[in-house]
Amino acid sequence: MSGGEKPPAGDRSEGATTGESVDATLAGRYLADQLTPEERERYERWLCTNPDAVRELEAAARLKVGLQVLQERGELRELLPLARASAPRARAWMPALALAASLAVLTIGVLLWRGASPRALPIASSLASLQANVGHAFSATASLTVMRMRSGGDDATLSAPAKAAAVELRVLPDAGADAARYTVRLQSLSVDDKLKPVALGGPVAPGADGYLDLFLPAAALAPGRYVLELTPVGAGSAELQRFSLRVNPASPRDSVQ
Amino acid sequence: MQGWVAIGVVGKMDAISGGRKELDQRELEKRIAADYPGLRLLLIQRTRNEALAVDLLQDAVCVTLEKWRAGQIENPELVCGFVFQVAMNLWRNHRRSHGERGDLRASEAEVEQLAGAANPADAAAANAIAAQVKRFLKELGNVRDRLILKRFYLDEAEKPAICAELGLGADQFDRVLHRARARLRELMQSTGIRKTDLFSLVFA
Repeated sequence: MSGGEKPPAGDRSEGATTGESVDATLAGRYLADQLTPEERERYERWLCTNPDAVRELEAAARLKVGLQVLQERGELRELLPLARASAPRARAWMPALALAASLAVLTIGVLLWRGASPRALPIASSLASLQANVGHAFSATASLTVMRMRSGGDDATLSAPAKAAAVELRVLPDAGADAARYTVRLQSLSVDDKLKPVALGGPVAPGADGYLDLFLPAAALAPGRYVLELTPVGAGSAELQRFSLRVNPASPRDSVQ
Repeated sequence: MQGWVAIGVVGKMDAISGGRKELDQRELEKRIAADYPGLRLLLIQRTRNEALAVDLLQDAVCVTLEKWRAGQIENPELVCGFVFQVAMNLWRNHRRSHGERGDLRASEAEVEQLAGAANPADAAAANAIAAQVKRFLKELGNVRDRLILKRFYLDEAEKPAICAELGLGADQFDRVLHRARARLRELMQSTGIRKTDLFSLVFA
């Protein structure tokens, strides 16, 4: 095999050593299995003809492994102060609210956010990730299975969990859905059928059993109705899926259904 | 291929055919563990099974050695690239045929396995890499840049989503990644990754 393979084309970025444009995200996306089949084929051909590409890949792998270890040890928290990490998410939501027009609407929109702060809460794929994201441990985890119900009622119902708890949603995508991963959005549904974003996460891939395991703070689930959206990521014909959830007021004798 | 190319990792001098030296499998595996611990550990993490990861790497080494003997790899510096490309494909095929979990995030147990224990050499490598990454992140004075790297490499969020979240342009995102990768490679080189990975020239 010759050494003449060109690097996979991408955004023009500083750091390209050959004058060709090199996609800065390739090594990371390759290791995350996020490349399309065509991208992967081109990238692997480049990998097999360019020693620098392998070292690049090793650097990306070390970042992934190192960050995992630091997160598990809780050392990532000191490097990523939550207050500053959260603020950008608020900025991402604020433009959408501002488009709704008047200050009164904006105020009402903020008041409808679940939790004390006007930012989307995180949805994580593991309890450890969720705890790292929010910066504290949870006292308990309530678990709920979410799947399409033929009866026409809500796809899942639970009693409002304790505020200090986390909630695990085990979601079964519809039969025939074949997306490798999904972004996930939880929205509250008002009495007049208005949707408001509450929590956001992903991309997350289904497990071997076909379920998506999602973890979110109980603060995201005050009593009311919700819509959980799964948006497929990457190539494929999978469509957006929506599931309805109902959270009932808690009582001492209630348990997750 | 003209002349002699003697490979530093080979234990014994074998017969030369057309100037190509026989590569020793065990030495190649050892060199991969020494020079590419990140990729090796990531494979273990993904498969969540150290024995499987070792099997996949060994199979990948065997396939690569066959290509080397058949003259399909000309440059010895490219051997490691072949090994990991083959290993990733073997893992992908294994996952498809066994219905393995596609989620590439490690659970607590998986990461504890990395950092903590069954194989002391792997645990030491994971700890060393974590220390290297921590030093590198501290050198990044900008917390936003650290967050970009965390969202992309750890959370595996996609570039458009990260840009939207953090109010970044695509160029800004790319600059952060390029600077980070260049700096991390400098760190890797100063703490042990050699420029020539596998081979030194030995003249008869």
